[in-house]
Amino acid sequence: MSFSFEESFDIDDIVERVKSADSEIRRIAIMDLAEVADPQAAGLAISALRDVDANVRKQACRTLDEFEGLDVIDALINALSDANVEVRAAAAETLAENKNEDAAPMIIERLRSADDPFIKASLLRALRPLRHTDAQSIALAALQDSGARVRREAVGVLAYLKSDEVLLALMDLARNDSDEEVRRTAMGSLVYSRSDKAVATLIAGLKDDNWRVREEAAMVIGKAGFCTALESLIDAMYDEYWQVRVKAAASLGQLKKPQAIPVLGQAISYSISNLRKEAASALGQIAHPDALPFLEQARADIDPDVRKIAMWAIQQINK
Amino acid sequence: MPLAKISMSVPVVVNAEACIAGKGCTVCVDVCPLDVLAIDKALGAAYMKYDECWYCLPCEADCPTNAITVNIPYLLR
Amino acid sequence: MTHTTSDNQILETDILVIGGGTAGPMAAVRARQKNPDLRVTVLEKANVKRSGAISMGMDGLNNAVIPGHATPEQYVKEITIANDGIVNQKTVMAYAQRSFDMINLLDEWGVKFEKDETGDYNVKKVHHMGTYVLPMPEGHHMKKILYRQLRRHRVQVVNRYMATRLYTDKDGRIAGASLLNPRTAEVATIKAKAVILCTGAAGRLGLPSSGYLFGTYENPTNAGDGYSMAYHAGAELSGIECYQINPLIKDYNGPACAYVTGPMGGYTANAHGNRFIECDYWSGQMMLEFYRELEGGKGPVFLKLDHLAEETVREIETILHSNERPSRGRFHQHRNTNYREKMVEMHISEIGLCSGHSASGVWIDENARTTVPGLYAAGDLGSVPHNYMLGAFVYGAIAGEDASDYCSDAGFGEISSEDIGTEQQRILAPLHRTDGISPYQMEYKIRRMVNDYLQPPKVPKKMEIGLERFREIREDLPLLYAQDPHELMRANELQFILDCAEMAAHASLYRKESRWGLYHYRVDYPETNNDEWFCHVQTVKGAGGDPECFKREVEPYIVELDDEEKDAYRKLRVASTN
Repeated sequence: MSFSFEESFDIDDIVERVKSADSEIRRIAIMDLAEVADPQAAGLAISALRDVDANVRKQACRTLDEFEGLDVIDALINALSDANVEVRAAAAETLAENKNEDAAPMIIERLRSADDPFIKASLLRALRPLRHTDAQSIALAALQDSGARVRREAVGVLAYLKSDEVLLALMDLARNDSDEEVRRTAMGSLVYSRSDKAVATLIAGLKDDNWRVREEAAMVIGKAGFCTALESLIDAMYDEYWQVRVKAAASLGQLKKPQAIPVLGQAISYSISNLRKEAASALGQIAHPDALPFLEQARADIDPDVRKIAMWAIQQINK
Repeated sequence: MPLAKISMSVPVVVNAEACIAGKGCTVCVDVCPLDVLAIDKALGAAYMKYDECWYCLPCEADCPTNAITVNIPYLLR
Repeated sequence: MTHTTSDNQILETDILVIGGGTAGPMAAVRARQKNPDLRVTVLEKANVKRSGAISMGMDGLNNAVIPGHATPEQYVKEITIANDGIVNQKTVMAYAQRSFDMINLLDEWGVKFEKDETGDYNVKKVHHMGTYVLPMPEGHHMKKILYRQLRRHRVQVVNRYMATRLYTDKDGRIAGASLLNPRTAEVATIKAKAVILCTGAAGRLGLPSSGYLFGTYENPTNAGDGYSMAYHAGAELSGIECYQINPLIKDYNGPACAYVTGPMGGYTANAHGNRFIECDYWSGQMMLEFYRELEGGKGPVFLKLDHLAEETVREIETILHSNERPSRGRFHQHRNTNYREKMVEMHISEIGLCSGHSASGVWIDENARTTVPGLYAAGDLGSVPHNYMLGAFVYGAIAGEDASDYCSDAGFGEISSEDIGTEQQRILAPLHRTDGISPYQMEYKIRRMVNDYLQPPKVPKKMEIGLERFREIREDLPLLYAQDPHELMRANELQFILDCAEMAAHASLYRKESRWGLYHYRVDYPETNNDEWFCHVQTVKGAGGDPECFKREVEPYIVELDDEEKDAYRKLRVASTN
């Protein structure tokens, strides 16, 4: 009896199986390639992207996740135009996992000549984590694309770059895009900005038709510390969606302005316990004695989370 | 002490038509943390051999041909 | 390395990592990074591609210490409070200080943490003292990423071999391990200069209320292997009486992941739809409140999501039905539970041992060293309280680095051939019989007795009766019969379970007070007694072969808690007003 500590696959055996007439055997061979360190492996997987069988091609896209190199990226970009939708999707997934910054110029180049919205969106998605400054101009241009997914991915690329030069374009999108997901994403991207113009956009965002955009705007105002939006945030405490009110309360806490005490105090009586909890927490962050009567009320709340936060908040005031 | 055989319904169902174990695939058998799957060589398909399932799904998620369905074991359902 | 062997041959590696789940791969990779000349082997009972507690990934970090949101000092304070003061703060600090670097390393490796639109981590506020939740809505690729790192660092991976015992040399230093192949019943011996145990929780201790042996909270491959192996190797175990008990989805027995749904507005509620938990920390105290509500007039307990917006529910479904325990969705479907309309019934889990969630583990210091020279423990097994997944990674890294240094001075310990012979006979005995008691029956009986006699509230007489039953089962071991190698694996695992059950009873009897809420609720000593029991309770294998317990002083704190903070915690326990 014996056993082997080396479990890995024999490359010669895989090379044979890749040539099989049976597509399922080829597919298993391509799957096994992912575990092989042999220098031939990446090349074999790339070749499999031209297999007649879509399942083999799909598997090749997945296997290529284990390999690096510009030839791999190039092959995957080609696979974005595959005849089969699942192969295209698998190629996009693998491309998005790439961390090799050297691939950015190639992706940008291919983006220039792309006109299919899926390909454009996938290339932008692949560019985002690379944070390559050369991607800025092409992503900026993509903000005008007719495809909403393309615009969304373009916002992602620009937001990751955190560049002031593109703020105006992002603000325009946050306010005026026809797609609510694009508006929400763009609104969220303003978190890195320190410009007053961004505040105006966020204030407009608090009045957006879509509640998730309003929620995002409320969140960003607090996170970025835009005190000039205080009044609008106070108004947002009357939003029809309690979810928006919860985020507005949280942001009012982050801004730490006593002017918010009355509206937060009022929220202590609302029926949604998540909102009472957030309001009590915000009053604790503001830490002003004027909030004490509201917090005393919250100390007797039916909800123990509200009571706990109220006690903590009172401690903050007494510190 | 003599032993009895009891039959149990098992949660992992393999579609033998779709399964490519006969072609050399061992993915589900490899990934099962409890080692409860085996390959029926005559049938060329995987099957659940031991009723010891954590309904954790790697077998189903990793199967290249979507041949596996994991049900919640009857006692828990 | 020798690549093939027969039963009597002895393999050799510098560092042997037992368990390829979370801490194990990290330990191996760090050991190789620190010293690429070392031979590092990961031994895995299943397959490293999909093994351990995170076989299907994880939906978030619940103890991320990220600058700007929390400090290591703050974190150490919180864990000290949550663990009722019984902590070696140095070990918690070692985690906290490396937490952020570990997140960044995992991010670099391709693990997807939730980020805001600009690519910064999207940390969620959960506690008011600190902020520790970092969601991973796409966390299902964890194992693939770890496997890739194992390959890139040329770590020797040995799948489908279980370790059954550790060997020590005549001076008590670690020397190697005994191995069993659960598919072929081949046995082998591997010599190592250092061994890192990363075998996870003892998850097959209590019997789930469904009665299904493998329907456990933890991955049921984690039978308590490491607890038992460390115990027999002479290591100290700690806090075994501080059981792991978790809230979960009833019958499904998987976590409801309140820390995923919490930031989105979901919460744990009683039958009236109201929150009821007074305690603010994940702790035994919280579990006691949960248990009381479950058994009380406003029970049972539910996960409430039916007040959330459609968009939010859809997002929750995507996360909960694709990560960690993705079969949740189909379970709910069978029961006609739609998050939008119905609260999800919850329950508490069977008992287990786990440091990752509570504080029961193999005693380690801030270098992940156990009390046996050359033996390390990390992850759910290592005694760093509330360490969770990120703690497993950090302590895996610590163990790998320290073991790597240890190997530069250490040689191989001698394993006596007599020890090998005795052990191989012990492992294989059930396969050599022609009939007898099946491992399933024996395991069922042990675990049913664990429920009957060890589950809290703890009653001393019941625990003594439990010990008697366990002794009787031990006397039945010569009747244990395995039909095939697979059953032989189960037959060996149930002996781990039996060791853990006995340790749990001994440690629970020893600590004559109540502490950690439900985890160690002694009905005969309902109060916490800091005068006599402000200490760790250690468990070791006594000279007579039975578990023995003793007190170990709590190391002086490195982060002092002021009275206000201690008080804040006590105040959080005020009685419910509704």
